[in-house]
Amino acid sequence: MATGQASTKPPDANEYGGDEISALVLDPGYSTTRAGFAGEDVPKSIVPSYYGLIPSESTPKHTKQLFGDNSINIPLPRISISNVMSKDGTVEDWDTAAKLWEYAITSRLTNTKPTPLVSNGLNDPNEDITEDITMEGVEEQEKPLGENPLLMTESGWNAGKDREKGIEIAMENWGCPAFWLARNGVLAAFASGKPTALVIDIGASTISITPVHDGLILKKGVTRSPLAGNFVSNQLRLLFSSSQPPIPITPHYLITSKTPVDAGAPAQATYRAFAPGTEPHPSFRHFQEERVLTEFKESVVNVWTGPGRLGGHSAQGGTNMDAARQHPGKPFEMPDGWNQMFPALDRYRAIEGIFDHKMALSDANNPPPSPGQTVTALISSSLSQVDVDLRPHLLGNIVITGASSWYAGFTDRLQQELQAAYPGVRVRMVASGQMVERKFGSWIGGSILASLGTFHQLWISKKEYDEHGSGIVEKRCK
Amino acid sequence: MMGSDARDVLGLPSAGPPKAATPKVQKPKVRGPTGMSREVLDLKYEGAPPISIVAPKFKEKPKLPFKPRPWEETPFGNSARKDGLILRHWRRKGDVSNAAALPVTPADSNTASEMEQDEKAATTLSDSHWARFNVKVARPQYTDEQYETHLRNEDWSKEETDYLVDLAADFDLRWVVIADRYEYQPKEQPKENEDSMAVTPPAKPRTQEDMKARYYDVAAKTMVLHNPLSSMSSSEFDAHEKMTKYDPNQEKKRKMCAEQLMNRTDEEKNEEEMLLRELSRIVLNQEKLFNERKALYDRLGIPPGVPQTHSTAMYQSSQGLTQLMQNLLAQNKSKELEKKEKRRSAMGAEGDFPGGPSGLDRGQRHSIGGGPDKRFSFGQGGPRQLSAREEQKYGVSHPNERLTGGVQFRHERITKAGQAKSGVQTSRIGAALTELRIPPRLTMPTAKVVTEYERLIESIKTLLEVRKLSEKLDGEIKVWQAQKEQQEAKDRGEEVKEEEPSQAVENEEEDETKELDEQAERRRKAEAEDDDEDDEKEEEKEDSDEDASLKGSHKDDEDTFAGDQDDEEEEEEEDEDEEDEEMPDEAEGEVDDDENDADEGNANGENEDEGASSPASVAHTTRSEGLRKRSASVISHISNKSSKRQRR
Repeated sequence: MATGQASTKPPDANEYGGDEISALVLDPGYSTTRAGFAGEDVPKSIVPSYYGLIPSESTPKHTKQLFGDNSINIPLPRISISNVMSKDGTVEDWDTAAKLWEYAITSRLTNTKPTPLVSNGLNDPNEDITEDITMEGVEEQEKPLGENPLLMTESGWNAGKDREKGIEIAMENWGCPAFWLARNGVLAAFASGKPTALVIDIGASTISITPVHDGLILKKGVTRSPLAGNFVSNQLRLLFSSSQPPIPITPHYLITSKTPVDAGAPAQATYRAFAPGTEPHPSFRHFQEERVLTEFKESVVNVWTGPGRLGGHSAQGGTNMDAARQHPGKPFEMPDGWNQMFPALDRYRAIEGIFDHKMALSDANNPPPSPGQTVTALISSSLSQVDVDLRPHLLGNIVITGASSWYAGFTDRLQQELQAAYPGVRVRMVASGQMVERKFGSWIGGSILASLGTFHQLWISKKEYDEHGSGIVEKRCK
Repeated sequence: MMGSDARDVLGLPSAGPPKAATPKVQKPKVRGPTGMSREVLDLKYEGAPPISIVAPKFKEKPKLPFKPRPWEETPFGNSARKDGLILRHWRRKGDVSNAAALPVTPADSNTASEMEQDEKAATTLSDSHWARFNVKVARPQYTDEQYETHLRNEDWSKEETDYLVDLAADFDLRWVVIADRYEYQPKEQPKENEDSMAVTPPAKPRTQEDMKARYYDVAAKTMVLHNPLSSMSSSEFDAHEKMTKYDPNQEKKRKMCAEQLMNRTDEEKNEEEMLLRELSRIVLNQEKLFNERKALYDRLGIPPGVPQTHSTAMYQSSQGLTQLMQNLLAQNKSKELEKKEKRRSAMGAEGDFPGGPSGLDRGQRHSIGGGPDKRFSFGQGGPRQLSAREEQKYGVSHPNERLTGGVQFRHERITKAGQAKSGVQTSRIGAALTELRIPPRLTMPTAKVVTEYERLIESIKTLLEVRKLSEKLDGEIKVWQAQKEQQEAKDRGEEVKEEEPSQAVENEEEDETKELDEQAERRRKAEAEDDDEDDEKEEEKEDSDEDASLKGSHKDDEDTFAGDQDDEEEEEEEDEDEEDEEMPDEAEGEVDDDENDADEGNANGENEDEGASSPASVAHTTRSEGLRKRSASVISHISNKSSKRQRR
């Protein structure tokens, strides 16, 4: 009884500073878009930022858009996959993005409201005198987020125009009573409980370094490069194609059946055949291959944890490459049954390019990264833009977030590299050991922020938006 | 039990009007054959269920000790906001614990809040619990006029200053952020004529220090404008001081140093670590060294460290700090030492200063006693330095000899001095004193008089001994002369050859004895003539002069190795204590021995006198030799004694 009673008590607001107003947090990323209620610890709705397009046969201009995991992974005829986000982590296709986000919110979080009784036609009086007045209110109510303030995240380098677009969608399309635009770097720092931190966010398309001071990003110190999760995938593709014989990546949707084969033996599977004209677009296959590679990255790829770099020399005199050859490999089975023990060197090699540009594989489509694009170089250039008094503090509070930071040994290696680069400073990493916290770091920070009682005064209200227009975002969300 | 049953029991008639017959639904009774149990009967009939049917019943409602209170989505305002945004949160019904009522202005209630606003809520909107945390930095306020008169700066336009002040207020003086976001673009200046080459000046690159300096300048000046320095509170004044004293150049230098420190390479860092280790090792050793030196200083009574100055400049360097630490340690230690000394003096080991006040402890003795210490000036808390006059007044002595333990009184010393081992000697001393007209009990036994008295007694003793010796030698000489005459008479003309060497010896001996004799004679004469007193006085004077000179030399000696000696002394202190107690006995023993020797000498002399007279067979060569030896030993003994005294 006692416990039951305790659960009915509201948590002491003074204890955690929370005062939840059922706000929503929307955290769009290149790979996934996260949405959920503020105050929760995991986003309830995780939707791929990719969307499917099915061109209509009759009118080619009219295409059907598919959102969500359940629909975009089905090889529908002539389906093509696009992403609402651009490669540098900003929104590219605003119209679709708005739809995708709405889907993410309404599919899991808020239902589309049933038509109000006054206008559902069942209770229609003969003459509706006050229709105009009520219809206005109704319109407002029909909007999907009429009751929920919305906190949206953005990257640190988001341009002013894009920021304004965000509030316009929230206010005009969704009818949010209040809105806030927060930097995902700041939020990731909050998720780790740090107001001042150097946030290293390794996403799918971009790796970004954001210095955060007292909950405000230092714009000049924000650096980014494309050496992130997709870069590793491309490295893997190059690695597979360069191996003898080339390793084929066959996505799941192409396999109808398969029989187990020995390691290294060619796959014995029956493949799915598509009627001519109904094949999915190559982008679909690319997207599906990406899923296989994600699995591969999660299970096989490993970061060389030193000492030194993979391309360097060990203390014993030999190269680290030779040392890496001695390490055990890891088996992996492709969807078609082909499997092999992947040698340790390959496992290390795939991601080494993030730390050491010389070790990156390249071809015509994948230009080699520049020396300034590696993580260490990014951090160095970011720190050089920051006040010198703040640097040791930032190095002591490095927050690592983003799903692509989940490679085995990543944190150790980064620690080692940074300590070597800054021997006089104590480098400390804050990297959650929980997959969810690492993946949704910025969303969790947003969830914390939007549920704080002291945050209420920061919201940009609808009234303020009406008064000042979308330019208010620049003024308020600094 | 029905009411009627009760009445039956009590034998009462049925009271009241007969009840209106309630319409009862008569159930048709199914009667089975008698003589069968119900269960069996149930089995017989087909329609009867085999098991009893319990009507489905819900679990009883739990009886809660509290009344359930529903939650409701309560709208609330926020006084920190100016736009009257109304948000909703879930609150227990009727729970207004942490929300103050927010007065809602009509304008607010008209706001186009997205929420459905019921009238009730609109009238009594609760304020957010968090509104009170809304604090803003006070931004410096100035008018255009004030700016023109007080705040003008060549480098900063008013627009840029305004921009800076706004930015500072926006970011609550987080200078790192302000410097990061500072993007001032000077406005396009209106061109007066097309030909003028006036171009908008490019935005000057501003460093964080420049901004800070400008802002502090403006803030400090406006502070004074609004509130003159004289009427500022202390905190305001402090803030003002801080702002006026901001030095951007120094700050830049500091940052440069910080950057250099941060950009150290691994080698530099290792080297620095190595140096630091080395330094710490040295410092450790230094501490030891300092402690040793410190102990030494403690003993010598030198105030450790450099003279104290009131500036902190000397503590800026690590060396100065180390010294400070040492000083502090020293103070601690000296305190401890003092405590120890106090304890010791309390235990009654005092008594080294027969004439001095007993309050002086040993630590002070060390500093007061011993000539060399006078050289050093005492630091704070050291014992007062006495002038020679005061020392005399208080009877402070600087004894060079070993002090006997325990309390002594002067009269004891007087009586002791006057008493010799043998009664004969004592009476002789007494006689000598009476001869000198000195009463056995001194009339005014001051410390000085007593020492003089003691010295006099010593001299008398020496005199007596010398006299005794001379008498003895006289006697012997007489004896030998008599013998010689006898022998001469006997061997006249016989063995002249044989005698020659002994003769020579005898001659020599004679010379010696003659000298002694002469001295003794003279003395006796003097005594007889009663001029002794003067003579003695002269002797004494000489003695004292000698003493003084000796003392001087002694002093010098002590000066040279005072440290070492003192060290040893300190260490032996405790031993000494014990020794002090033993000393008197030893001293007495020594005296005894001396006197015994003298007595023995006497006795021997007597014996020999006797022997010399009786056994003529003894070869006089050997005898003479023995005599010579003895006389030499006596002389050396005397001289030893005197030298011993002198040494003391």
